[in-house]
Amino acid sequence: MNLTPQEIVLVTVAEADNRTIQGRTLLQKRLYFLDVLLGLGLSYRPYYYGPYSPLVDSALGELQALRFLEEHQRDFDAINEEGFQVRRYDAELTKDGEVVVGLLKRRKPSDYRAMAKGLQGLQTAKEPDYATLSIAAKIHYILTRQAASMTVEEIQKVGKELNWKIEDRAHRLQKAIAFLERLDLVKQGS
Amino acid sequence: MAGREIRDPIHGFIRLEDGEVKIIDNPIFQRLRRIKQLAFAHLVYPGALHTRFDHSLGAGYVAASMGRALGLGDGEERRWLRRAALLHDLGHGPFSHVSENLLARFAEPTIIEGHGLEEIHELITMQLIKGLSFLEELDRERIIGLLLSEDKAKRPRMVKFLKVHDWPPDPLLKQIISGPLDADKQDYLLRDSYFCGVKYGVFDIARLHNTLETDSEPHEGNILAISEDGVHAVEQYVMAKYYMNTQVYRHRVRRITDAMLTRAMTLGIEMDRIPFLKDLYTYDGSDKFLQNYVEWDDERVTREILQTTGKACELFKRLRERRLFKQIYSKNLNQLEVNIREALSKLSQTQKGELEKKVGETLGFDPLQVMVDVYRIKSAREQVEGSEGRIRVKGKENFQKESALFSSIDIAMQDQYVEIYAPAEYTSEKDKQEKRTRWNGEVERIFEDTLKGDGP
Repeated sequence: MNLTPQEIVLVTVAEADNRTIQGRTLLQKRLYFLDVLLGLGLSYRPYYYGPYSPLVDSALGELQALRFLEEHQRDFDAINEEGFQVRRYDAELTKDGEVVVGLLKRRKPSDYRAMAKGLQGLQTAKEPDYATLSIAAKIHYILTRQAASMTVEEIQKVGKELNWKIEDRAHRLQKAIAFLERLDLVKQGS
Repeated sequence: MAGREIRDPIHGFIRLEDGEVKIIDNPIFQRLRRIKQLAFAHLVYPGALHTRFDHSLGAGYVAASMGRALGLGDGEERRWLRRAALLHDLGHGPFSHVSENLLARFAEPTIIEGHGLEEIHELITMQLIKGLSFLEELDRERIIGLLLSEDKAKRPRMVKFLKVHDWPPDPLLKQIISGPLDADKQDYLLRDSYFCGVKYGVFDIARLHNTLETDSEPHEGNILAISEDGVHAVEQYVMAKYYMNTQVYRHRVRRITDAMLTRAMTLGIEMDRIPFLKDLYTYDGSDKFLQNYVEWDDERVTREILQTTGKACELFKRLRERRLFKQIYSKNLNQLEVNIREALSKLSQTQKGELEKKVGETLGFDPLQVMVDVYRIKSAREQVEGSEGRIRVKGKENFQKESALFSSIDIAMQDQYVEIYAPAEYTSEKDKQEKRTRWNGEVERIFEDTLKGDGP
């Protein structure tokens, strides 16, 4: 794969529904799995909300500076656990961004196809909502780092040590594991 | 001998222990007195004559102060910490960062292979530390361990190349040496600000150190954090970084002097074939290279180049007399057509050369004296949480979430620019406006012809 982080982010937004990614968490976590599946070299590290790539974040900023993407802030009435109003930044492809995506398709057709196929693969595996996807990324990161079989409780314990919330609210934990199974990234034992 | 005290304009008296005195008295370290911290920035800010020597002493002092604030004892860890900070810039070449670009460009390709270009000056620093035989071998390896990149791809390559034992550093010490709140940045912001005579880089360092904490990270141990009370001090520090970048480090005339300097040295190697310049920048990892490298500094390079007669000498004369090139074109990339914007954002060295040639030929300048400069101003967010990670607030969210200031502004905003410099002369403001308007059109036609490529 010969794509820069900027090109990877651009393709990911271009291939999303309505050419928009709803929130930075969704972008980070979707690309986490794409990085796992395609080896994109995005250097994910553990951070507050799970694995995080500074390269993706920086690329997002550069693409905005070039006006190929626009971020729209959306404030929700809900209040999060920390007492702040829930705020989301949606990344949307601009008209100029569409032109650049067109150029990319012509210049690097096989890389573009591989990315699009990878993203399609996540949809085929029924990619869950961003919160569940985030839990799936945390679980996968912990399992990969421990390189051993773990029970859900053990994963939650390590998650707690990392200050990561891996709670089973709204059955998210099971949904996350099911998603990882569909991607063939984990196997549940008896 | 009972150490030494040095009076520093930023931190007051800096006390050095015997072992540290030996380090600074070494000719390789003393050479840093002759390498200015900001190259030719004194052509913009006349006070900016401070050197890597002052900054290295300052970084050592700040690291020690951070260690004290965090309750580190007087043991070997504190010794490694101070010495690593003191030695972190030992491999800097003449004119500081300008040498980094030249080393990356002219190093032996077989050495570069497998190494990121930015690593060459880091490798030189480690090799020089490795060669400080008056230090205990364990001390040298621990200091190198603290200074080495943490990057999983880079670190093993560098350890292998340096033939040292890899001592994974304590994360807390590592973050004091290299991280979003490291001693290097704290010192250079205050120092550069003071010597440039600006106030942009000022922050309350005493308060910041007063609020330093450790937080625990599973699998990693203690890491650097601030208390909730330190949020405002960090806000000030982050803003200092942002303003120093926009107002000093990216200052228009400073960019021109750096571009002229880099071009002078490049032409000195490629066109004038000046042997000493070629030897200085063709890094091959050998002891012979290092022995020669440490013999050079700002003054000696300037003096020797002024004794030649070629293109490099011409540019150095201009720099000495402050007959600087002028900005003949400047645009925010987002004001340009999409294909051109995209091409400029990832311009290769060859494409840059092609553009410079066409601009020179069209506008009547020597193409070798035309310089295309594409750069970006990092967003405030990147100043807070760049590639070095985020600033942790103990027991809370990261700094950005805890700061009312930073959570309320669009700190992702950033811009990229393209500028062109050339030896232009203006007779009046009217003449300048007329020429700039004409050149603007010409340059954009050249962009159109050269960069539009396979666009729609």
